[in-house]
Amino acid sequence: MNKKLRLGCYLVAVLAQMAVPATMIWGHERTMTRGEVYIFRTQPVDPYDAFRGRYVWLRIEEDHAPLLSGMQIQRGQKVYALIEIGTDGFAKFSGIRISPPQGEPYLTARASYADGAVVHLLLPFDRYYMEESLAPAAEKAYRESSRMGGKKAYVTVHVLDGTSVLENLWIEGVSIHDFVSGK
Amino acid sequence: MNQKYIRWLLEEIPTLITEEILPADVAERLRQHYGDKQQERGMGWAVVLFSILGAVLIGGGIILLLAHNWDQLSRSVRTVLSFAPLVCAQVLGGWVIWKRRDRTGWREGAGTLLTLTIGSTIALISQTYNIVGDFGSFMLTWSLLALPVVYLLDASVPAVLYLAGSIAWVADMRFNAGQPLWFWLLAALIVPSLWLTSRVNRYRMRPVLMSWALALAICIGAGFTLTRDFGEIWMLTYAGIFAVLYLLGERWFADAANWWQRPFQTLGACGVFGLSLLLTFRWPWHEVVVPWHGNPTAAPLAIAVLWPIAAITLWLTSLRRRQFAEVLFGALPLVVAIGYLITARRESGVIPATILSDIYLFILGVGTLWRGVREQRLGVVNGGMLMLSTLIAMRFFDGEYSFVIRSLAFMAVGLGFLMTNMVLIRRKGATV
Repeated sequence: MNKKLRLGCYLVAVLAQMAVPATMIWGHERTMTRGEVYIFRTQPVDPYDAFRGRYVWLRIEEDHAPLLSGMQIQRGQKVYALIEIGTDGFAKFSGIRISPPQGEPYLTARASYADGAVVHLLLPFDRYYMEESLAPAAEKAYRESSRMGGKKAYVTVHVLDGTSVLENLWIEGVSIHDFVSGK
Repeated sequence: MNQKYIRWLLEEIPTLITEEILPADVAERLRQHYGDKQQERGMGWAVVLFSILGAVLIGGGIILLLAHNWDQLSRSVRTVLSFAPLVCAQVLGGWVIWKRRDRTGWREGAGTLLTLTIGSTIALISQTYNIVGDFGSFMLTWSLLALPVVYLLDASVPAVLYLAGSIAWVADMRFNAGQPLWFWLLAALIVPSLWLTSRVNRYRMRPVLMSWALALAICIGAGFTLTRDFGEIWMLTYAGIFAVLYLLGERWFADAANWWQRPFQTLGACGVFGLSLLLTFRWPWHEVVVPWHGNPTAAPLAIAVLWPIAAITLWLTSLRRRQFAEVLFGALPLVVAIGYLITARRESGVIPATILSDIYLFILGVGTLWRGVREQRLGVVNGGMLMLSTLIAMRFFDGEYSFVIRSLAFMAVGLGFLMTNMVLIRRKGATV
């Protein structure tokens, strides 16, 4: 392969390497601007990711959906969870489909395990990245405040055509950043 | 010239001078020529290794610095900072292709840095925008984007990183839903690069490193791709993989000076020994007795069976060429296949199958020992001794057999040793 051809191929490879993260940003922005907002109740915990740094792990309370009788689901299978808003204003899943539903709000997720007539889901918004020092502080602050007064935590999520974008983590209506810094 | 021959030549020079076969001035010129070459090679590798280490440390440092997730910085600034290392590494890679393509150190260093920054940019964008994604698709995307770097920069460390990424992906597929069989295509994509690197001299560090990585990836990947649906077939598949590695190695890396320059033979021989030892126990054979619970489809079954078939085909050519070591190590798939026939659905077949494995391992040990003695290779002699002593130790402490059976077996093994010894002595024409 001559030098110019090699460099041409390299340019194509370089563009592909740039395109992947750029597409991720584009998808994020599209969902944020055009997606519906849903609120999911959660409990924040602080783990660590060597590549992506500290994050708050979100234990979403309504991470399950009823399973239709006779429906066979494999662990890790891609499913489409139908979203509905409960009387308390929080979102939950009313059922799952194995193909994208038409005209109903849904979230693309993976099946974790089936427990009788209920299937637990691996949701695509189970972590909220924070600065190194803030993530453990967020968990600690949440734990202390919930012990004292049972404070409620929730996340706001934008959903568009099954794709979701996590917008923010809130504790009693205060964003986690303000909550940790005591604003 | 192969390092082994250079070393041999340099060791022979004093004798050649003493015996007046070579004039001293010619000997000195030879020594300078080949001695310098050896030294140059050593220096060259130091440069390459430092380039790779430097790239790894810089790449790791950038990831850690950005993983801090600087809260003071706006999202757009963090986005620019996430892309910056990738763009720098890409520019460096382009410059190396244009100006420094003949320098291994530059190619390896730039390739390693670029491979690491591809992953770090995706990870940091995920962090900045809170895009979770699953681990499997992250590893697959990273690996596939790094593959062109292997070919265009002609670098071996990115190839090793690519294979490591493929293994991480297939591990994720194994434990979650997905099709792990694509791993074989991912592994196959690196083979042309190994071939291109091996063309000039296959015993150089780079092809050897890539061969080790590929051989290890095949062994690990097989476990993740073929064990989910095939409870008991793993023994036959692994016997095939180890035998194929050994037999191919004996054909392609026959003139290597050291064990590490023979990745396929070393890994294949260790695998054959380890698996044979495992098969001298009852529990693997019990799996064959239990009825098949898996739900196999045609594709994984074909790949699982392809390895032993390839091994037996290669073994038949070794048999025709009367290659003693190849016939010995390559026979494992046949032994396992016979074991399957004896044991299938029959509890009574378990003990004969373990005895068959004992006999095979014994022959393997004695044969290796014999080969080592015949070729005067201490490493091979030690390998044979290790096989035999492990087998003996295992059986001595094995409570599954009665003392009488064990004592009879030990006496038979002792007699076998004595007979082998006698044959060896006769062949060498020595007297006791």
